Amino acid sequence: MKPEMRRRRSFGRRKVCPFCADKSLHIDYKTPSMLKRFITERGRIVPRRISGVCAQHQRKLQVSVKRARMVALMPYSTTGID
Amino acid sequence: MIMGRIYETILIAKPDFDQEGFEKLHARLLKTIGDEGGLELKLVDWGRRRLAYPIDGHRKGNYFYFGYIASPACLKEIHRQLRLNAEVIRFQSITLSKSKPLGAFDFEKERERVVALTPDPQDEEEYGRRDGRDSRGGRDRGDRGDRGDRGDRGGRDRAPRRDDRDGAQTAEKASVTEVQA
Repeated sequence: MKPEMRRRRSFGRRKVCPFCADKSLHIDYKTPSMLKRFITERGRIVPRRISGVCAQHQRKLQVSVKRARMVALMPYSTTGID
Repeated sequence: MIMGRIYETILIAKPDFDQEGFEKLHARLLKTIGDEGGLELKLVDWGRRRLAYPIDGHRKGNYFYFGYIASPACLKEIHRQLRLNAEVIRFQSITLSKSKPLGAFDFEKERERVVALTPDPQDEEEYGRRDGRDSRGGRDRGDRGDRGDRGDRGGRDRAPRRDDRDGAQTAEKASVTEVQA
């Protein structure tokens, strides 16, 4: 197989960082309802290749989620049994 | 010259922590901050919320948000007092500004900023509800209490053991009669 053929598969629409798109959206550990969109059902942080968040905002998001976990506004993990 | 920062502290008290107890704690913290020339900027009582996970066996907690200007030494003292208070089950402080001389803070401006930064988050969704209703919309029924003795569950000697049966056919019959019985 030629290297050109292996490279680039067709991508879908390029994802846009929701925080860059909407400047009014604030990343704050005190608003778990907003952060909830960026964690999985199990409580893990969604990787940015999935969520489309840019690197800068993902870093802020990560810190915020961890802070929110510390004060029990968000779960560390959810097993579903509870 | 004493340097200071803007801090915010979230503290979680036990669910039965009353207003009186908090006022006592609050007065104490205010005195600690005031002695050093700091200032309280904002205090919000978030009320009783459900914790995302149990802390020290508590499923609910009384949340308080506290924004203030203080020196690092003062923050240390605040943390010491919070640790001493048995009603406080968790606290977390975040730095909101760079270090500046305490006199250089424009208190009114900073207060406005902090107030704007912290919308009273009545995020009454999954992880906490104020009015005692949980996420499924049902009334909070509290702890269910002890279920008591559940009695004998039979155990393995109730069903006939496989090697007691003679041959596959009888075993099949036996299971049929069991269903009918």
